[in-house]
Amino acid sequence: MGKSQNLLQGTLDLLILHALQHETMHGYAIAQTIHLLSDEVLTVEEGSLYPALSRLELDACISSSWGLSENNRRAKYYKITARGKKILAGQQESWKRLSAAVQQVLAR
Amino acid sequence: MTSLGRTLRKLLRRRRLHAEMEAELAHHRELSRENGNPIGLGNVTAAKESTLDLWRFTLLENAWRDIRHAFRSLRRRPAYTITAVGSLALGIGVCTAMFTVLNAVALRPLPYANPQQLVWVTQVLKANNTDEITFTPDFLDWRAGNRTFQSMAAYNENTRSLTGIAEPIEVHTVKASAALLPLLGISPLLGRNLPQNADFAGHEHVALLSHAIWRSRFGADRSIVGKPILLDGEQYIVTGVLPGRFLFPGVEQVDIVTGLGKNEAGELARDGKVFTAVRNVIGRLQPGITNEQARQDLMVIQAHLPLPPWMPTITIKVLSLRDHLFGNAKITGVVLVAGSLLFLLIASSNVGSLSLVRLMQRDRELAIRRVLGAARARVISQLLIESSLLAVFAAALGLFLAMGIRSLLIAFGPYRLSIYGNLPIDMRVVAFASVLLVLTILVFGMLPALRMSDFHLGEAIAAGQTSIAGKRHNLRLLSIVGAAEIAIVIALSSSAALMLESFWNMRYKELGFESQHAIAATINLGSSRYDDKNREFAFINQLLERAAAIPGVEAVTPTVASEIPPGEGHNTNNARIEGRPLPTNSRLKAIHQAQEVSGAYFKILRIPLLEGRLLRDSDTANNLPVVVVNSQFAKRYFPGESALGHRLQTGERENAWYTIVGVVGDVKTSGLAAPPQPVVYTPYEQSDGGRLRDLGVIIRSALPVGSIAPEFRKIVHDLDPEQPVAGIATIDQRLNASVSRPRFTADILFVFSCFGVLLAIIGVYGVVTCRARAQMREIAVRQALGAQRTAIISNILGQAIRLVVPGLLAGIALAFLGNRLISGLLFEVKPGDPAALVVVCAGIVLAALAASFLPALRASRLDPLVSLRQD
Repeated sequence: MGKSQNLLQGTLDLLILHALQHETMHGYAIAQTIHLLSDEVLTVEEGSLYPALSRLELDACISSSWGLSENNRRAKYYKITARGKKILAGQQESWKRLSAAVQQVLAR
Repeated sequence: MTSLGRTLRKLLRRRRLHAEMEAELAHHRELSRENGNPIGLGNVTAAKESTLDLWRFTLLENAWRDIRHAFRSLRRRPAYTITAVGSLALGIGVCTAMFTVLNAVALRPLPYANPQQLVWVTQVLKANNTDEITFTPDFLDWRAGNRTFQSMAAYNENTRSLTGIAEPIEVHTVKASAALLPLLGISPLLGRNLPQNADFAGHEHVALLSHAIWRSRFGADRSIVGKPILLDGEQYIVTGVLPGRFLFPGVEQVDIVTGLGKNEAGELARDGKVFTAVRNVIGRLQPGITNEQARQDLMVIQAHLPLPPWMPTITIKVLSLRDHLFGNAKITGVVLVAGSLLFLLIASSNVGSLSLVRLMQRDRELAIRRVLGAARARVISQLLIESSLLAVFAAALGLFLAMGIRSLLIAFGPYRLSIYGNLPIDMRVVAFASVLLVLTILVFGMLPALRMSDFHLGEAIAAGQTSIAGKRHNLRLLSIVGAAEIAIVIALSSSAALMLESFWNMRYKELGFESQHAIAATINLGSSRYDDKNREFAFINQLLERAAAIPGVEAVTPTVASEIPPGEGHNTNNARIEGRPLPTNSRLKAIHQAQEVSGAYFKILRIPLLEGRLLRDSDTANNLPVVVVNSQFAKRYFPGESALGHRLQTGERENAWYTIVGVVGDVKTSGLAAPPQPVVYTPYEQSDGGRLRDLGVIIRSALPVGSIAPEFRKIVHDLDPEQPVAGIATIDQRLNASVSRPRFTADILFVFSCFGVLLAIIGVYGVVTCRARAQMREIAVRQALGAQRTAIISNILGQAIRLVVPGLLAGIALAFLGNRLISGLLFEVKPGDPAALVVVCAGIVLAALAASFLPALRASRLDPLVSLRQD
């Protein structure tokens, strides 16, 4: 895992947790949600998405179970855990501070 | 912990996870395609790999790597590894083996139903001497009148000849109450138990066969039930076969159980016409009754029973069956296990100090690893893994060793209790061994690892310290351990030396005869065929004549089997000496042991003639009755005069006067531990032959017993095909067997102390090496300043002496204490015998100094430049 990914990963984790905040969904739906919510600016590749999901699951931020998708196919559904919610809240806070700081820097 | 659990679960699920991921990715791609979506198209393999990477686990991976690393590093130092594994294996093996003994005698439940309710009961009769035996009528009254027992059973053991089969043999039998087996909770494998009426005289001719004899002598014939067998020439009907797992609650395996057959009405009449005794009474207590309550109950009954004519005082003893069977063995077991634990402790602390030495030799490697970024936890865990690996090897080896020691204990152990069985290795033993393993890892593994943790290696290297483990207080602790080892070893070895000396004295000193080339055979003429005295003597004379004709046999004599040296239980006779008043006080009677022999007896055993003549073949029933006495007899009853020519009346023949014609040397015939007693030797042909029914034949031959025995058996078979030979052994074998218990204790102590000395030497070596290593810089500086090599060697040896001397002093004190404990077991040796102690101390001090010489030499050879430059 290269270093440049770290930043991205952190952000991706935040986005995934955010997407799962109110709803249980499978991997593709998560990618779609992020894509749509970002007004199609952000595209999540499967090569980044699934490792991130696995890591989050190992970290007990999300849990998963197999179920049937809307078009009747087997899919793995992810759900945020209590720990995930806590981490999400913390990350949101630091993200806000970071982005504000970055904006402040850029504004000068 | 939960995360570790989760990790392990996922590790196990890894293969399935892989398949699931394939499915998930396929699903994703499918949806992408359907939606015509630009998302996707990453590097799928990379995605899988990087996801799976997450499922690998640093902890376990590291552990595996550490194990391999530990393997390699142990293999690089075979001397250390062998010493460490060897001493730990020795410790664990000895402990586990000793534990199997303790387990068998004290922990395993006896193999009977509800064994905690089983007790052994006996009357204790005190008159001139104390006997533990129970009068049959009293037993019958107890059984009828008690309120604390569920059931009571009596039995007597005896040896009988089993004939009517291919080859007659001696079998160990018991006559037992029919209630005995149900009481123990045992039912026969085949057939039925003894019938109830077998308790009564006239109905006792029924038999239960042991599984072993059923298989070996009756070919496991299932139709044996209901058929007759011959015991001492009498017919017994087989009612059943006992199960193979049944162990008789006694010293010897029992081959056949027959009915008790008592004349109960006659016994209870107590008119002296029928009056017998039983040797063993076993009872099953009612639930919740204690031994003492049962004893009180029986005492109440006993108080109303009449005493026999010689008016002994009668008390009653109630012991739990286990205590009766294993009383002493239990204490021995606890002592052995405690001793061997101490032993293991020494072994582990030794290995602890050895691994500390190693740690010091590796400090640079470890420090460098630390500096290169290995976490301290990793370094410590690596050390722990090395220790654990050692301990696991040692435990595996130790278990093998334990099995070996265990078979030795079974083969040579003096406790021939059938119930002792084969020292089973059960869950308790395995659990014990596992606890030992954990303890060992804790004691010797944690020590160096913990020491590591108070040091900051990186800083140590930066500061130029050569040692990471050389703190002063650690060294002092090590020295105390070393000194303690020496103390324990001295105490142990001096006890062992005393026991060996005692055994030696007992076995070889002042026997009074020569045991070489003498072979003793015993024959039990129990059959009623030999009630006729003429037939008995005819058999004996023919046997002697033909045995003397066996090629290689020099001489043959008959004797009474129980009097063959070293002798067993003795009947004593009272003699009346002619011309002296009839003694009334038993102390004044000429009490003696009686032996019926021929003149050849003295020649075979090389017993010296002191006065007069020996017995002759012409001293037959038709000639003048004569006797030979031993010097004890002559000294005690004819002080200041010659015993020759005096005449005696002994118990053998009423009213016949026997003339003393010779005095011979004293012989130990009351067991090797007892001093010689007065003995009267009667020519066997002038005796009434009663005691010769328990016939012994002593043969002098240079041939080994193995070539005499078949010839002898053949002769007996020719003379009487129904007559078995009870046993043939050299006198030496009999002597060895009679001292097998003291010998066993001596041997165990001796082996323990040899191991102990070995461990102490390793210990001293470890400690001294540690100290020398810690002083490397100091030594280098001194060398640089011009110190001579010899000065350095003597300095380090001096340190070793400072370690050995306190250990020595403590050891001598401990030895005096320990020797007092074993003084009861010693024969003709004084506890605190200075000779043994001096030899032991000198030996150990020399060994310790030799062990310290090596590190001292090594330290003196260090190149000061090299050791200084190391910083």
